[in-house]
Amino acid sequence: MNSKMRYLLTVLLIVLVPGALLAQESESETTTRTESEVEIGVWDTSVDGSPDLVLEYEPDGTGPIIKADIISVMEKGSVDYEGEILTSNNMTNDLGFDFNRVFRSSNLLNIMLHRLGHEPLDHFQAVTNHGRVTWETDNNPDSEYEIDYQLFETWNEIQPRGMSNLTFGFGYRDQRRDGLRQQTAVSHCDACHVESMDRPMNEKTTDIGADLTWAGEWGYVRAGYKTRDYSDSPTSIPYTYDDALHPELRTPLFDNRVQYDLQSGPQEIDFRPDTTKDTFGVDGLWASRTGWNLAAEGIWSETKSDYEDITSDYNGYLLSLNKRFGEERRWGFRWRGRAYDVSVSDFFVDTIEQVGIAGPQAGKTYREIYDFDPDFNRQSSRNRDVIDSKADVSYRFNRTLGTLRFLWDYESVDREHFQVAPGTTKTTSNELGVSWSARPAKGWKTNVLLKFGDASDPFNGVNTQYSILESSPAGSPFAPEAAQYFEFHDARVAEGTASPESWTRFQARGTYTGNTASVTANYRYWDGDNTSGDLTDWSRMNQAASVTLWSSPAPRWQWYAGYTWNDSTLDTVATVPLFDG
Amino acid sequence: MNTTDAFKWGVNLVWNSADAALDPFRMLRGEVWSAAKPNQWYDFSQTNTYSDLDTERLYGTIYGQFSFKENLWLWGGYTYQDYSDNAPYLYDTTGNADTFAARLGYSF
Repeated sequence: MNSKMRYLLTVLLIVLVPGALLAQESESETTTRTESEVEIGVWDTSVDGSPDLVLEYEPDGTGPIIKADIISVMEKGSVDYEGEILTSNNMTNDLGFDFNRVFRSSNLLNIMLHRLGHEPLDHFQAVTNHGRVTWETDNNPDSEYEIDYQLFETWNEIQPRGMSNLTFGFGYRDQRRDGLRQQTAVSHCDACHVESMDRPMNEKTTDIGADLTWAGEWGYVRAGYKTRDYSDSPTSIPYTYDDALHPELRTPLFDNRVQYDLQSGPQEIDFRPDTTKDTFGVDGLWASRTGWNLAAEGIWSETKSDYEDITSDYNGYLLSLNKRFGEERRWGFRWRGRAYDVSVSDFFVDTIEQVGIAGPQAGKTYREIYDFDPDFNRQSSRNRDVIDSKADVSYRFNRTLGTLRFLWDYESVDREHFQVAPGTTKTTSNELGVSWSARPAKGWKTNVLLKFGDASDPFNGVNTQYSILESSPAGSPFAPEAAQYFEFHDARVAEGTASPESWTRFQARGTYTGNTASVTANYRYWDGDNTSGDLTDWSRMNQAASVTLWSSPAPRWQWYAGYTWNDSTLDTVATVPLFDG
Repeated sequence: MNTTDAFKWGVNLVWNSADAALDPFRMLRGEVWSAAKPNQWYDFSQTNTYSDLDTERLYGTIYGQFSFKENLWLWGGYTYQDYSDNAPYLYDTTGNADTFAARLGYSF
């Protein structure tokens, strides 16, 4: 029995023994009660075929079962535990307790297995009639890839007697993924060679936080702070790329066109730097006597890599208002506004520039031959200022005719470093709609929603498709007249996108609930398009429908049936580069 | 179900089926260019078949519980799970599992 199991059995004994003693006491005290159930047994699971999906989150083999459901309420406090333990990597535990209602604690420990499957990589094999190949290598063909997911969480509150408006909360959260997964890497310029290898995981994310709340009949105000640490061990794994060879001649002519190959020795891949995130937040709710309800929130966070001097800052603010008006309060108004900005620090990428080791470009870097600078300052496309607003006005007729609601959603996204159209970094969108929900007859509930949306300068990749450069015929890629990849990139003229310029959304839902049965049907439709950019021609239409039936013909029998259908059509422009030779 | 005051049993059965497929791509190409470039097949006629999904899952449990006394019982159950991968993507993930379990319970 490992230490984890011994620990949990100790916790159970600590809970069960006083629970059992209190059960005896509770017979004579009217203010206490204890209700407990404990089950101990065995399980055995055998598998035929692949366990990867039939038992994706479950163990196989043999082991003990320990189940417990314990509630004990006493004058001085209470204990509530519910849990099930099958193996050291498959259990759920939920423990809550309080002392004198002044100190309250809720805790959980859940562990589960997750099978990840092993990709055999046997679909990469291909060869051309000129001798170019694509191929694969599985360096660990017998490895079983799976992880144990573990979450431990505790949140505790102190609410002092005589100052019950004040609550101090503090907690700790520990999330882990331990095990082995499959890592892939690709070498270029030796045709396409895909390799896979073991990647150990010891990923850990820990949160420590505390907050202070002042509450009353008017609402509450809360301020809190949380710090998060992320780490994975090992931080990276070593990998040696293939020798950069001409794919047909198998000669080392392309060394100055790749950053890493066999000559560079082992490199670090799948690099996961330790990261720290600090978050400070303030939020509150105020319910005024005039009927206005106001909620507000502010969040400031900084995420920092412990490896490089890279930080990401987020500052966000939210305000929401709602009130009911008029005779019998039939009219309603709701508004939620949010503003936030994201800022990621710049990072200068100093490209590794190898010199050619053979052929007509031996002894020179790519930059020296083509006057092309591969270094660049990475400015994040995530940097942005965002404002969004959701507002609706509603009128409630009565229970039968229901409520009619008019909606307006607005969003403005202004990016610092990314253009969505030549000279434009800002996307503005509006969505107007109407919804109706009602209970038209006994047992019936219906809801219908219709929205129309429009965006100016939707998200587009400017000049990211369709190169109009046609290279002159050349005897080899090293010939002076042979066009290079960066020249093809610079000659792209079309905007690429998967975001709509205008769209329509429709949803309808109905439910009938009878004495022993219910039926629910749901239909969703979305249709959008975008022709705003050069040669941009994108459209998408999604439909989904579902129907579910539930029936309980007898008190201890019930059955359920459901059907879901999805249909999606995408029209878009695809650019396929053509090489001849 | 309570067959008697001391014995009760239950059964739970779930079956679901999922399938998905892409229609053939409409990748237009110039016939004049294709005739001049015999090495470029430009053939995407099978690409839409590479992501087909066709699966079935069956889950069934039967269990019984016998109570020796009001606060002491024996529970036993059998579960069968079957997953059928009828259009394998990377590899065939078809498999089935049998689980037997028994528990002795006490309440206080």
